[in-house]
Amino acid sequence: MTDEIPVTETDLHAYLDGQLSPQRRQLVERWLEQHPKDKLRIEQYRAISQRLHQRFDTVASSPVPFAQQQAARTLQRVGTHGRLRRAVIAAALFLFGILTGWQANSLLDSETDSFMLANLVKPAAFAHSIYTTDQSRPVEIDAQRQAQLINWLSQRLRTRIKAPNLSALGYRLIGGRLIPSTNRMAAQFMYEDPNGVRVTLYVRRVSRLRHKKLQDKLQHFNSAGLRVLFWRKGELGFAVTGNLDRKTLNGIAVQSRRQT
Amino acid sequence: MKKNEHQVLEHLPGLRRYAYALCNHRTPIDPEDLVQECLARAIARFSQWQPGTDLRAWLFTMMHNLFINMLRKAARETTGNISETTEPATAATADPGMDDLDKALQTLSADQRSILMLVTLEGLTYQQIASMLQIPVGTVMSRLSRARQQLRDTLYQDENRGDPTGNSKAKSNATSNNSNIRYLK
Repeated sequence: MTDEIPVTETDLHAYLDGQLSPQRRQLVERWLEQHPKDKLRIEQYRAISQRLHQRFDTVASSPVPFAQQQAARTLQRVGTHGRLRRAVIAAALFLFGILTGWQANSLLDSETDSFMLANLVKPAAFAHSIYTTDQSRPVEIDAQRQAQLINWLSQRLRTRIKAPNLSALGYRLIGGRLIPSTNRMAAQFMYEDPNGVRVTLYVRRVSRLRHKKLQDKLQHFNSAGLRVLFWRKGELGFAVTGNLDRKTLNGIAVQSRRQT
Repeated sequence: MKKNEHQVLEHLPGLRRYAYALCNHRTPIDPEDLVQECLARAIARFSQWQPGTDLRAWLFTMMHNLFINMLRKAARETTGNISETTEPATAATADPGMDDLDKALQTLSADQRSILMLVTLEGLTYQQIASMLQIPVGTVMSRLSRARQQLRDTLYQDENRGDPTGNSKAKSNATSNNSNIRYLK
């Protein structure tokens, strides 16, 4: 007789999680009618499950960051095309890399580059073009209150950041601001030379484990007349942007990298 | 090879949800980093996936293992400061400003939290989880049971006060008894 089989703790969980056979489910239901304390417990477990859904389901329905979409597409492509075609894709990406000045040594490297491009370089160039052209309010907090600026930005980025001193190169700090970046906060510092030419340094967190090969390697990217030099140090990514020749901007980037 | 065998994009929302559910306030790991790193690793190791097997389980297992490795690495890097990350915190040490669910979740170990989320959010069967994590079903059950009991103790402690039989001690002893668990296999 099924009635003789005792209801176990496992049964109760399986009942809650919809993993019981119909027959066994009926047995548990009968058991719960006779055991109000277990019934209360299961109801509370059910309420907890609902709260977990409420808390985390929003993540599943929120927009997926661009870099992740790209990575997932690459994975799908690799899967669909099999291993042979994978080599072809890697070769195509490599060729694309040569043509565009990007280094794409492998599929994984190109993935890394596309991450840096989408989340560090392009947002930095965009933020540069928005704020350096703003005559009345290029920065949120000016350099006179540098300590306050640094504290505020460090607090919001949840890591200690610095504004490099570029006066040896003729650029003085004007100030900086907090900017929303792709799924992260970013900080922008703005510098100006005596002729009013402006350069920005953009800082944000990037992954702790990724981009091992890019560690401390200075890379460049050109976009619509703007030149971006970027690198990574620890968990932070840095991008120096300006409408300058490569040598001048390189000097600024090297100096900034030394100080940050 | 059938095309619909590996619709990675389809699994991405679930993977992202799992990442957020794994990383809590105390975890020195960013869920967005976890997802990105998991995908990068999946691309690099795709040749290890057996066509015809469950791609979703493969991806979730990869994320789970990656998470545990990142936790260990973070614990090593901080040389003791966060070395208790794989161990549950007591509710008393939780940061202020979190709601009661956050605080309750912080009392779970990484293993308990992981299994609870796979069951509750992803709807995986106990058997699936056991083979994913390569542990016996009995271990899955005892961790699940302890996780739920722990959350209930924290969230409903006022309501359940003065109800010694409904409290955790006796019940969780019973669940760690393997003979009790083998019933359902």
